[in-house]
Amino acid sequence: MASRPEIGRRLLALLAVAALALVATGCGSDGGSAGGDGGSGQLEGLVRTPPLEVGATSLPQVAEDGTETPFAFKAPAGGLLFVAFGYTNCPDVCPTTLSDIRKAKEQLGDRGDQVDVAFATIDPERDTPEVMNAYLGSFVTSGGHPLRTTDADALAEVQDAFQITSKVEKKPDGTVEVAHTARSFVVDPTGEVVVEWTFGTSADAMAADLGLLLDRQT
Amino acid sequence: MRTITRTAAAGLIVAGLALAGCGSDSDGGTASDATTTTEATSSTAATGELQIEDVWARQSPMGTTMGAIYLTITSPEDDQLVAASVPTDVAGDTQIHETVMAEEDSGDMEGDMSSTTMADGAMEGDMSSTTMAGGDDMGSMTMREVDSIELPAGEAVELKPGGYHVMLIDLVKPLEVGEKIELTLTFEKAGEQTVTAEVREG
Ligand SMILES: [Cu+2]
Repeated sequence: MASRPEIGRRLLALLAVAALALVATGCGSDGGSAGGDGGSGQLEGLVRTPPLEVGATSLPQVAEDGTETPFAFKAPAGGLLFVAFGYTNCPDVCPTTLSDIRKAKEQLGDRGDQVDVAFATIDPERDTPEVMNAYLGSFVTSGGHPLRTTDADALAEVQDAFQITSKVEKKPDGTVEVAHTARSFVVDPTGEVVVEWTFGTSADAMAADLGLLLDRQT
Repeated sequence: MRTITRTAAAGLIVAGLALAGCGSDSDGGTASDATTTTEATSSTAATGELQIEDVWARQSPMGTTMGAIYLTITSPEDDQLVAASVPTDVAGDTQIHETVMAEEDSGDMEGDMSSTTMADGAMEGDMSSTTMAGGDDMGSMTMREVDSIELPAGEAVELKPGGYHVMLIDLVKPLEVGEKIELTLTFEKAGEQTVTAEVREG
């Protein structure tokens, strides 16, 4: 019994600090300073120090007919890349996030066209290339990147770069239980994650952050 | 020792709530219990009728066979939502679901907490040993079926993205904006109530 409270307390103390740090970055007032990159304006989302570098990783972008083209996690020059991981049979979290980025892009008007949207499936077995294209096409009309690999190691490597996880588990009763990190990312042209949004970040906040980040690029 | 642990935990819960409060519609499953107490006085629907408001479903993206209906319920007395159904020409099955942190199933405080930390990057070195190895961290969310939703008297209980939803399984056809869905809700005390859900862009 002696060791468990000890571990629990250490963990909790550590976590309390981490959670408080999150509050600070999450509420916007200190958002920019956490990144320490001296950018003006304050981001609503989370800024990590040092930033995640994801530009060296890639996943196949699938066309409707299954043709694959490697897609590296970098934004087009002068633009930004929104990245979310999920699965199409997710009725709650995934469409909420994609719907919010769609609204954020709309709010930005023409500048919204500078934001590409990548959606990577964590459930490639059920999310066929055809399904992925139809699904993402429901949210974005251009600049969409449906990403899918059946190579679990390749997906894991990308998830590691983004520091996220997912799990697809078939239950004995035939249902499939899926768990995944509900966070989304914005990547710049160098492949650096410039802001992360936890689930529930509003479309308004996303639009504000994207506007600031686009300003910084020009 | 016990006290210290509790204090740390309490601090963490408060911090977690504050975080949840930042996003306008965030209401993570783990925060819902604590949120209840702060919202208890927010509604004044003291006596009178069961109110079911703002009933809507998101337009279903192409390619999916799942959908979700959201709504707000205010019951004049303590009650429970125990079942929901839609006509079979809309969906093959209907369940009441809750989106939760994946760890919540364990019922273990430490497990719950690890998900909260993962959004933080500054502590990577410290965290890696405790949280990076497992498959369930980093704010991982999942959804599960629930038997019922508690409806404390006079309190507006929201079914909204990231919290509870009425899950539509095996949609017969995609939900299109403007479409109306007849939704029958079964309450422990108030019995069956039928309302109309409107499909919105979302
Ligand atoms: Cu569900």
